[in-house]
Amino acid sequence: MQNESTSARRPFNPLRAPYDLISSVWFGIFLMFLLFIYMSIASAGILHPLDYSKPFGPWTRWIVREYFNKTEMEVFAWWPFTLLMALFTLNMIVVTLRRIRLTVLNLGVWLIHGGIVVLTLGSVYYFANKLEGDTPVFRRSIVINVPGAEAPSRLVVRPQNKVFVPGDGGEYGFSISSINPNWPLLSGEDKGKTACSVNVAVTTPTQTFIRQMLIGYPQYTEDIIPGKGRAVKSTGKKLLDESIELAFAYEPQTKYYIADSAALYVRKVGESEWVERPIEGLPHYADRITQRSDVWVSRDDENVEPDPMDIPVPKVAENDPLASLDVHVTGRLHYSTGDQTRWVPNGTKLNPMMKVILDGGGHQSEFSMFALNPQLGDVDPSMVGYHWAENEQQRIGYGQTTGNLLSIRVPDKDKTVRFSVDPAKTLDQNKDLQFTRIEDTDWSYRVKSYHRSFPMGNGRRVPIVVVELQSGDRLIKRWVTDDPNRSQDLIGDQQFSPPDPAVDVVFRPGALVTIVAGPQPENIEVFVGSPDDRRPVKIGEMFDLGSGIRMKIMESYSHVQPETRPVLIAKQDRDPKAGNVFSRIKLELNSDNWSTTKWLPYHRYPFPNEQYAVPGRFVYRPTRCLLPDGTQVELLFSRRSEMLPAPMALEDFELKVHTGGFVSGNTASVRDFVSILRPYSDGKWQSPITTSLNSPAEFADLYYFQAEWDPGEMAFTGLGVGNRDGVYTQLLGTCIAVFGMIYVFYIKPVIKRRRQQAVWAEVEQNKKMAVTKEPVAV
Amino acid sequence: MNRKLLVRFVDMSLIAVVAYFAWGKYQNRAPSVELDKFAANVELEPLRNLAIQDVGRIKSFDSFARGRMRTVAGPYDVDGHEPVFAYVDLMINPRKYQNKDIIYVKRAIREDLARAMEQANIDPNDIREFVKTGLMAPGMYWLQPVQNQLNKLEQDVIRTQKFVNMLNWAMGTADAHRLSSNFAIIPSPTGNDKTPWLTGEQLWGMGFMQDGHDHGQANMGVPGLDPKLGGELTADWNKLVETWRAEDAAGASAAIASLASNLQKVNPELYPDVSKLNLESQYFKMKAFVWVWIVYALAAIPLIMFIAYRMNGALITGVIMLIIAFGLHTLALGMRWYISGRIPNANMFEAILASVWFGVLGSFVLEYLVRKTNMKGLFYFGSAICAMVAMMCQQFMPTVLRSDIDNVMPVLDDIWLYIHTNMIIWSYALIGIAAIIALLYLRYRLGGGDPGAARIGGAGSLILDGSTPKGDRFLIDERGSTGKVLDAATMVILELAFVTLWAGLVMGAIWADHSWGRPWGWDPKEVFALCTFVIFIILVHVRFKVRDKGLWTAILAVVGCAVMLFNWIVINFKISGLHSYA
Repeated sequence: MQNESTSARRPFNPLRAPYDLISSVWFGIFLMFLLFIYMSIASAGILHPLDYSKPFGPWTRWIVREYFNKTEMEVFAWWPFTLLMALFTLNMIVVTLRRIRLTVLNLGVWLIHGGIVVLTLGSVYYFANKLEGDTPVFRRSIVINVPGAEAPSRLVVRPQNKVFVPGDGGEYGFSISSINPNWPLLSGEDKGKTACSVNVAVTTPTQTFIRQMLIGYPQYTEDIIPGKGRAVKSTGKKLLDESIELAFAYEPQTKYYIADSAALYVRKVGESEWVERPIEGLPHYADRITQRSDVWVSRDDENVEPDPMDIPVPKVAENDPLASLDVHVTGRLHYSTGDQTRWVPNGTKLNPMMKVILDGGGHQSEFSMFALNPQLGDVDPSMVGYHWAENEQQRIGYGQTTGNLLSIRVPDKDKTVRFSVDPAKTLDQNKDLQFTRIEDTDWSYRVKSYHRSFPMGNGRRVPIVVVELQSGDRLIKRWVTDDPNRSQDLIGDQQFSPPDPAVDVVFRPGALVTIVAGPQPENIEVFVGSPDDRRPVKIGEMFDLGSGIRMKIMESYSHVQPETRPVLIAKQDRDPKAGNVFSRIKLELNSDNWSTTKWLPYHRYPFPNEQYAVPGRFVYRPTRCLLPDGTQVELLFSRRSEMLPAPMALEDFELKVHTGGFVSGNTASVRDFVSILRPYSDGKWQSPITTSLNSPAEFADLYYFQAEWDPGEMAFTGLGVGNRDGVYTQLLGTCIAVFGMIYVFYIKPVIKRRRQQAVWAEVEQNKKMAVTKEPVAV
Repeated sequence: MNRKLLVRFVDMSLIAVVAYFAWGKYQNRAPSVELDKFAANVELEPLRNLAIQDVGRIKSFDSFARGRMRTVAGPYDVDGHEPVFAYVDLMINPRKYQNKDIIYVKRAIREDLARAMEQANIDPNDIREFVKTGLMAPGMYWLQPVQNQLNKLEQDVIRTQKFVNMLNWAMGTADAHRLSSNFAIIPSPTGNDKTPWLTGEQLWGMGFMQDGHDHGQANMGVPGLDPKLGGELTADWNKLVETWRAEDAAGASAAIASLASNLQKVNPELYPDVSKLNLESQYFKMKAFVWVWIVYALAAIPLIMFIAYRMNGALITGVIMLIIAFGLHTLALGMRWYISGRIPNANMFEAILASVWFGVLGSFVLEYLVRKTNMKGLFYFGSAICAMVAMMCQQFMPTVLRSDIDNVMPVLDDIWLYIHTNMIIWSYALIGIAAIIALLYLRYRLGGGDPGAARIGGAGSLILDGSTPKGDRFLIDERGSTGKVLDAATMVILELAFVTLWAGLVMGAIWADHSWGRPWGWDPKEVFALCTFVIFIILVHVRFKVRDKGLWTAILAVVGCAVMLFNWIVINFKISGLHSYA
């Protein structure tokens, strides 16, 4: 390598300076350093301790690329990286041309640098043309023909899928009751092999049976009568109703779905084909909301800042049902598991609500209460009653409902006593409990027992008080419940009779605690145990209810109304491996005088109907929307699609396992997954092509990789699909570079050694020659 | 600062760090437990060599039990018992362990659980012991405050959920019912090599561990099993349970021997070779040979004496020790290969073991090439240190680097596992050795050594040194420059690492292309392998431009090694990617 110092000594020339810079080795080193920094941060992010005061504690990482909403592929196709690579390549080319003469000794460096340039060019071509996606291919559908049906129906072979077909005499129902991918064949030519067996439960207007079908073996189709076994045994025929025709058909896939892309799918309700609108520039990781009130957040302390966005989603097809509307994506949630309805204090109708915290034994629980609709709350009204009072009279009235009030009235004397039943002051608890006289009467009373939840014969449990009433020698043992019509007197030990009219006893089991608010939400009084224990309380103040239980009123509102919003899951509760499965977009549809918004959940694939949905993996939840012209459409958020070069069907799927493998569903026992595919081209199904792990199949310049599988019934396979233009150029570049390295490190020194030795030999020879030619003194 | 003082400070710091970690390990050791008479006397050898089916692999019960008990107790033995005894005892006498500290909890959640234990009024001494060792009793796990705390910790997906899951998994594994339902020791009487084996529950019925369970007709449910043999198996099992509970060592030993013998008769064609099972047991009994780091350490000490003082006797001793260590290392790899039936480089434990093996093997070849030069001994030393550190990690981090032998992942079942993986891990070993020699150079410079550097690189120095009478002769002159020698040795290794790392990357790209559909996906593992390579490209070019070539070469060699280790450790354990298994 030539010395750069010669150029450094020249006077500064602004025109030549960029050339000198780009041909500087130091500049190249600096670029490599920047590349190293960029790649490290873009890939791993920045690692840091969770708690800086504990550097040896757990660490986490800030994924910088996600801050910029870039996937791994995107962050390395971003302009800063492209610029660095371009400068580096340019620097390498210029340095090589300007400073390294092409000689035998320098050939290695030329090869390394040349190889990297070829690799870079190949990579530019590769990444510019790269298409990568995936697609599921289902194994089979069942084509159904019933008598009188207008057209055949299709049923995708997936567990629990069902279809109802109108036909002669009524409706016919078909549902997949079970799938066994390894049904052993016990007879015939293929005895000993296994086949995929599908049981279809068939309900006709007149009978119900199961039709068992084997993929690839239509001759073995037979019906099974529930409780009786194979139809052939009881009827002599394999099929109970031959007019019902079920036959397997391929379920070919025509599209694949581009990784990390986004698209809106729309169709009129009732249609099967989706119309696609690509969404360009949708963030991959960010939560973008217009205002904080767009969402609920799973943790109240999570800070979510509004960050509006507006991505137009123009139509690309003429048959687009939204053609007359302006369509925009105005929000995105990265992790939202669904909608939630909460109560907000801005309603127009009176609907008082209160949130309280109950603290007992160090354990705190939050409850909501509704004064006018107690059933909406989550507190047992017999424990805590909540009322709204417009005035003092109502307040006192509600206060009177506190405690277990027992009223005893002697009609003859028109005398009444009323008191709260104290469970501790009963005869059962205190054998010495004396009778209490009712003033101005001959009657006295004492409470024998109190049961908060007494089992009745019909399974109902009610609060009950047993009170003993005494007048002279007369003793009445009265059982009183919250329903006065159920009061009875116990005669003897077991027999009950209607209550003696000499005394009326009424029991009103009010709440243990009554909270009365109003007419302003902050005017709150609490009645604890009895109407007499009346305490004004403030919001946020903790107060004692006795028995170690304390209460704090957190919020009190007079006019609340329900509001449904998507729930944004707090970052620390998100599963990092979930990707964008739980993402949603906010779609805004506008026309001149009409507007609506919809939150659409992410779908991995835009399936035509729910028959393709796989619980836990592929959701199918299109959102309906009524347009101003009365058209009802379905909207679905998924990924952009590309057409496959030919429809691709799944002929068969094989699972290869280790000894006794896949017993407990443990994938560690799987050895390989094999999809046998059949492309449809030139008007016919072509010969099967096979793809398995580490062995992709190629058809019409696209490569199909084994990427996923259905571990249950093996009803579908998941294929990775992509092209790989430019790979061989990349490979050539890397091989040239490898050869260059070997040349530089191991061949060049050998050449050099030989040259040095040759020169030295020549010098030695010359010395000898010089000695022999030395002039001799004459 | 005075240079001598600085050198002493660096040396002392190094010793202090090693001592600190050694003391930490000593402090956190499990409390010693004295074995009872029964445990000491019961003959477990036939039990160890029982075949058991575990997620698609037939292995020795010893190997299986070790894996399960490691899940339960982490780096410790369950109550001081060996794994086979602990497994059976947990299965037969689960109540005995309710209040014994056998469940291992990761450090990340210990403090949180300790606070919950305080609420539950646990003895503060027990809590302190728990925080120190990480061992808790199963009974403690069920305390309400602990459960509340675990529920809370489980909510935090990013910070603590993983550790709670590990604790739950340990608890589940220690459950007697789970242990018995995984006890698949009975080959299918009529099946083939794809047929699942039967567990004790399947042969003897649910609850076969419980007292008073009627085993009489249990084996009726196993088609094809000879009723007489089934009866004998049942009798063996009943006797084992009874004698085990009665702590009758002689009776239990007899029952174990009979059971082991009868199990082989259930389907002799399916039952694996007992000698192979025995070998697997022996392999794990030898703790997977991870203690060989001591032999490597014993090799490294005389080797560094040779490098420092040129004592030929030390070299001979060091090489002999290294050969012994390498022999044991090779034996460990060979046994693992034979037992698993596949190349042993398919998980982290194996990759580390194989990597340093390649490193030591390479050092023998290189040392042969430099036997007449002043580089002699450097490669031996570098590879011995690398192997020692790697195997120390395996010994002292058994829960992170699990030595269990499992099936290879489906995606790794390919010829490229032999080519790409070996090439990459070899390059990693070379990078490690280069860093060791570079550290020697830095220590030499720190001590005032001359700032010499090999003018023409590593292999170039070897080839050209002394090629002409007036050329550079530092490698062969007796009083050659130590700095130049160390620099040249670093470069010899780095050049090899440079080529092998690049070749390994290319091979990985070829494999990725036909496995994942793209040769390069900017996966973190790929990126950091490339980052390591970029450091070495910088090194090669910096050598051209700086005056103090040796110093910058050494610094960048160490930086490159750090990036490589970051790739191997942090990327694997902290950052998920397509290469998480390697």
